[in-house]
Amino acid sequence: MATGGTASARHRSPWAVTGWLLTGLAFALLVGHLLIYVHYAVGLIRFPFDYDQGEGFELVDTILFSQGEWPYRSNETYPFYASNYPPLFHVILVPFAWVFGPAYWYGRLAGFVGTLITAAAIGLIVSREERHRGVATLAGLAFLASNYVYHIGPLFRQHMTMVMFETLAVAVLAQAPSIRNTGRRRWALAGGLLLLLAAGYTKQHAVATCAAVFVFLFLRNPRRAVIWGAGFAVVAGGLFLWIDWATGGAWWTNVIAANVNDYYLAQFAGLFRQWLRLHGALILVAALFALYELYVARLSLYTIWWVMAVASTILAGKWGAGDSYFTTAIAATCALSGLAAARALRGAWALPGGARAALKAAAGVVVPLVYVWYALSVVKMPTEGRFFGWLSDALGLESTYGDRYAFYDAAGWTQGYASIGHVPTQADVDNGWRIVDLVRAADGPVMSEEAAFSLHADKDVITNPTQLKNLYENGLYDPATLVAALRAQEFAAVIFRAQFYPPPVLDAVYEAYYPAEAIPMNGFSYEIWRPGPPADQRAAFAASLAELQPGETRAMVLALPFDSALNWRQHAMTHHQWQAVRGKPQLLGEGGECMVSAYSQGQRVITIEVCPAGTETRLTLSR
Amino acid sequence: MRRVFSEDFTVSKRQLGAALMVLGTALLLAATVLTAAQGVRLAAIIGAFAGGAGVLVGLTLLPLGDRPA
Repeated sequence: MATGGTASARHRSPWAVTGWLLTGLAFALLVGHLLIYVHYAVGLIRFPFDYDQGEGFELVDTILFSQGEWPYRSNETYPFYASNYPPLFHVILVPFAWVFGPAYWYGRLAGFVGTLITAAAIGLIVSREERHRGVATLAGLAFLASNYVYHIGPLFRQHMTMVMFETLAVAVLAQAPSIRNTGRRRWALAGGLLLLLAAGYTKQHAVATCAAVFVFLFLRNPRRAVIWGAGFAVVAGGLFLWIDWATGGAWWTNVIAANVNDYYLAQFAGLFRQWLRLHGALILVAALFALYELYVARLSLYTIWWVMAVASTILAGKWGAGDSYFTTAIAATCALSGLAAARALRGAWALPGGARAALKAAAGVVVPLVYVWYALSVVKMPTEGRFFGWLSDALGLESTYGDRYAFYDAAGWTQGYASIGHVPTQADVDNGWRIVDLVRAADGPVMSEEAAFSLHADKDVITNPTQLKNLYENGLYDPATLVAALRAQEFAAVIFRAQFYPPPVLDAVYEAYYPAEAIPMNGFSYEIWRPGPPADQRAAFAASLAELQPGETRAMVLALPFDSALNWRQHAMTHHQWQAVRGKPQLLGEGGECMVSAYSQGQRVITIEVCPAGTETRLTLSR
Repeated sequence: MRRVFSEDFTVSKRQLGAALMVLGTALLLAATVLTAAQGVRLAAIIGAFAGGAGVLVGLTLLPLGDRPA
């Protein structure tokens, strides 16, 4: 890598040749990572359903904004839906919603383009500060190569757009205090703080970057920091109060109070260790640069941003948080390590002459070596397909997820790490449309844990499950209305993927519905739950289970077809904590049309005979 | 105070060190109070670590004098 040397002979030395070869290797590896990322992004942009949990609800927010409605509303009335994210990402996408209607591709494209802009901003920072285009390019590519950025970049989620605004804000504000022309300085500060405001109103996690910016401004000039900080607080706070007023307090409940979740130290520790292992090469360089600025030079915004961003990763231990909480720290790490690498190659450290010369001489090999080390640490790729199947075989890489996905990920897995990264297959798409067809055919609204099926079927999106769960666990949600609707079977079906609902809601589903079908998609099993018998028949069945005496027999008719009644009976017995007695069910009746099974609970044993009765089913319980 | 809020004032390494020591000590005290009131909790442990680090880093910055932070 160019170290600014003078003699051509020096460029032909073994040391220099090694440096050039390593530089070429670093570029080749990081460009390879970029191509894999583009392949994944294209695959996701073409996929018409939820890929990551919750993507569809971001689309619902966008649709609501496009209709001039707030997504911050009561969760206790139909359709039991509210958003827990700030509005900007969804507002940006509103024109797409107007033109194209509800679709996933434009949100994913926006996320993907956001990561490219972030990478370009990192490159711009390095190039502007250290005037080294090679390292600037490597620094930008390093951001896109991260396993975490790869995961989250092309999703219909607002996180990477927040990181984009944060990085752009830092790029603008880092030099603002040094601008001598007062007018230009004010414009730079105003523009930078506007980008910072955009980051905060894209996702709340930008608060760490806000803190970094104002600490930096305070260190440079407390007067300016206080004046601009007061202005920023008035604008940001005014917006906050206005939205809260316009939504009748639902903004505060859904965006702030609902995000106070349980904390799992083990989740944070696991993710932090994983982050260190994957990005260690760059983190080491960034940390050394931060120490250099702290003790030798002057603290830049880049270093303060890096410290704050790394500190904010502690929030990754919250329930519902995960690897995405590290992406700001990754952007800051790439920028800071890029600055350090470029400065090392330029020999521009403020160190004693001997040390500076030695560092510069070593940098030609060490710098590309750092990027090669990093590129080899973050390997991930599909393990099937004409090219990737061949490549993964050649490299001896097998899917990290076994038969579930064809995808190798050097990150492995730890609690909170999103187990995604594979490209959906045609079978996934076909199965998604099968679920949509079921929703379309359903006689009424469907409560789905993911929004895509209802959106494609042009039906109401019912509930935002994790939001209900968060609010319920904070004592801010009374599920009585939803529970009553479920017990009254007001939904034609319920679709589960992970069952992230509050316990009373799950209990109501278990009581009034039964799992009728499971359709695999994207490595998950989507369970289609159908209404069981009406409430009076369910109550009579439960009473019989509780009251049946030895030698007694009770018969009842269920308003379900025979096959459905068999499924419901199995589920209902499990729900009432009865276990099937070993042995095959027996066929009885004329032509063997009835099915008899035995169940036990402690010492009690009950047999249930299920027989078709026209379009209904007759149940006979005996003890 | 007037000097701190003047047009050309910049925080020095020593002042940053002192500020970090004050913040770190406050965090350590808060962690101690929290532990005394509610027992050993995660927030107190994190606060104690952050406070301790702040005090240590602050101490090392004091000798660097009036150089801009």
